[in-house]
Amino acid sequence: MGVCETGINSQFRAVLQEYKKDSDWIKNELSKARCNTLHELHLQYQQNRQTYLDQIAQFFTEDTHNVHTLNTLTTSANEADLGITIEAEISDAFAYLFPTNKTIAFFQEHYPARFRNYEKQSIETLTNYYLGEIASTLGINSAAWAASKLTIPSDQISALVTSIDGHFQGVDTTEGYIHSFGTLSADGASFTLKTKHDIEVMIKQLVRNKLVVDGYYVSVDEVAENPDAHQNIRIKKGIERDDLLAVHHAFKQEDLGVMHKTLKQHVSILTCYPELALSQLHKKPALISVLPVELKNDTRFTDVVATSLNDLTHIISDNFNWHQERIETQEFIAHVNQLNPLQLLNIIEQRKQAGLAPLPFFEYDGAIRDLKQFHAELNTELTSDWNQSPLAMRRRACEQADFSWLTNPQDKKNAVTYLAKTNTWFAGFTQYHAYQTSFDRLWQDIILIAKACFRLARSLLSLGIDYAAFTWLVPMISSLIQPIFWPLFLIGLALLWTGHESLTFTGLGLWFVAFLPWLSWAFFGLDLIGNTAISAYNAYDVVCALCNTLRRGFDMITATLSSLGVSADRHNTLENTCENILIRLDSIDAVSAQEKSEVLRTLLSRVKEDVRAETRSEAEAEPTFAGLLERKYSLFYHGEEHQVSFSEVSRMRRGYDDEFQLEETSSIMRFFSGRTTSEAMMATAEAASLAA
Amino acid sequence: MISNHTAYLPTDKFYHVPQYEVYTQAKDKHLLTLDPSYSTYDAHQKWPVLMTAFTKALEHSHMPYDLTRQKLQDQLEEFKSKREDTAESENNLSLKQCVNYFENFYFLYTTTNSEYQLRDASKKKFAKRHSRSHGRMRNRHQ
Repeated sequence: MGVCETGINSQFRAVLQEYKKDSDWIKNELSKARCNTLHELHLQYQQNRQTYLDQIAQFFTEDTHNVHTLNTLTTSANEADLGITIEAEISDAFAYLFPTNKTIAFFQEHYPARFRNYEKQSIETLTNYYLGEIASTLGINSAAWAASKLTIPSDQISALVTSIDGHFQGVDTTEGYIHSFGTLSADGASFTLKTKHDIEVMIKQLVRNKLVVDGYYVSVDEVAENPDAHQNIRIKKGIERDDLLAVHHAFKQEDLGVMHKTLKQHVSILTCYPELALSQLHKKPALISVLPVELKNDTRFTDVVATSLNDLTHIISDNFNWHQERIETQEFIAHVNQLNPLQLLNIIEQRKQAGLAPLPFFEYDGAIRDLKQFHAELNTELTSDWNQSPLAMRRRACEQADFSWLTNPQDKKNAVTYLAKTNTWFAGFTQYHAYQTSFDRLWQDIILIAKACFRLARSLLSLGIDYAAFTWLVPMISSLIQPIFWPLFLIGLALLWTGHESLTFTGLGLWFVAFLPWLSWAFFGLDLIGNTAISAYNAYDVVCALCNTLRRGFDMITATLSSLGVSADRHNTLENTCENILIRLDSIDAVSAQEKSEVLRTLLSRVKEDVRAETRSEAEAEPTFAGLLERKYSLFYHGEEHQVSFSEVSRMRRGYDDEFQLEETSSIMRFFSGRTTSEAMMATAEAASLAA
Repeated sequence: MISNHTAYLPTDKFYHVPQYEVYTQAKDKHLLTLDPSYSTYDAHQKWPVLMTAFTKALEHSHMPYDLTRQKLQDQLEEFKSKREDTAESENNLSLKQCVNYFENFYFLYTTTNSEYQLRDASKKKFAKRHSRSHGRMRNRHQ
């Protein structure tokens, strides 16, 4: 037997595989793709050959060895029913000389992933093939076509149509795909074909449909409906078909609890087949809360879910256009709780870039920064979970909050607390924001500064008074009188002021240079370095606290100025005030508050209607917005008719737990009493409210 | 995953080996042009007919640089006698199997059927590849 039979056979086979053609182009291309996959596997084996080679194999040349391993791989592939074409099967007489066990083990280990990839890539493979077909049918240059649109004589259209119909038989092409492929010129003489890339998308869709029509893919729905008729599906290794169908059925459950239980038992199936969950999520986004929490650490799954969450955001914002020119306060309140803080931040950013009017509540930067801080606090303090829907976040906040604020309201005023103690996250944020800008907070800051100063003083004292005087004061004074110190110090301060991370570091750098002469002196006493470092840190602490407080104070001033300032944006101050009452009520967790808010909202909408009607009729400009707030409207409340005005109701006191009673009481709420209802306030708002 | 909105599973059809029915018909029809009674011959009778036609059809520029038509003919003759000398067994490439391979090569190389006709460039590559494969194998294992 002097001739390597296996070698000749595999060479001949390889040549034929490349050029032989089946009448079904899909079968043909898939067969080629499978052979390629096997060759890739072979290549991978060769690259790792040191791991797999046996001593005996060294007697053979590399080529010979390759022929026989490829043969072993091909045989294994056919045992695994992977559809590799064999022209003439020749048993490998040399197989016993080779460590085939290792080769086969390699194959068993690596083929599932390779061939799963082959399935995954099938649409790409077939699309690429067909794009090549179009190019050769029309006689166009593929590279030129990839770069730009091409014009072809219109008599070639029929060739293209025939080709599409021939290749995609059974796929519904009645809509006339040809029209989406390009445009016919006005005189009908030529056809401008879209670029390859544009057409690729359409071909992909055709290929996808063709694969379904021809039964290469079958939907899980169909399998579930008629399991016996679909015994031929290929399921990933280690997964039972029945389990897969159980997961599929679970999603059809009405009872979310039962659904969650089933899914929890089959986490591995959701990991292998994320599309089972995804396809359902597209139909019912709320199902995201049912998915087992184990999946949150699986990056493959989180990636898929993250993209679908973006889609979900898209679905949510479809109901309400966050990118309209102007969003009124009431609209904003009605829709904002569907977003999570991050999504709201994104919308604010997008609106800013698009030059749209700022959202209510976010007219000045302080509010945006507080929202960022709110989001960041939630991010770090809430247990991480990929479910970032506002409801899920609030649920976690409630689980986590220690409720110490109930007994000790001064404690722990962080984002989680605010989220836990309010009904909606935005109400939580408004309270958080109010606290951040309140004098309470400023006072706390001052206490912080005082504490930091105290720590600084103590650490200085621990250095010893003499030493402190010697190492701190003398050099300090000497550096203070140096001309270079002040510019460096001031620029550093300005940079620290910005609060921007990289600028802060630059600022600190400048300070370091400014204090360098003094520092070098201070560090002279090496045994005291530790204490000096502590003092330096404490000094830094004081400066940071000071900067923060000053910036916050500055924000408060800007906020106050912008709300007082008579700008064109805030033309309806009084109206805003009214709406703010509603918002404040909405954020209170009590039945009476909700009821009061309802009544006031009804009255306010009546008032607005009247303002609009009267502005239109241009009758006596007598009753203005302010005036209408005093007008009595008839209103059914708890089955009785009442004649009440907005300002009247807003003055009514409500009990904390009881229902809200629409009865005039002598006790008057502070808001519309005294100074605020005075003629002065009405007068300032009057002119502006006319515009509403 | 082929769609976000419906979950699909691949079927066995993804691994179906092409049957090449239409191709085989076209090939058999083409071989009858060599000899009207070609289909009735056995492998030993088919070989000379096939090889004469094949070497005649092979364009010179498509042959490996060190190969003349005569040399190729000798090589194929030698290849044939090797096949005849080898014992018939599952470990060996029989003459019949080789005839089958060469019928395919001949068809692909000479057909004018637009479905299967190779363009000149791939024809050249194809010819060089398979003549190299039997030539090289012969030399190495002597």
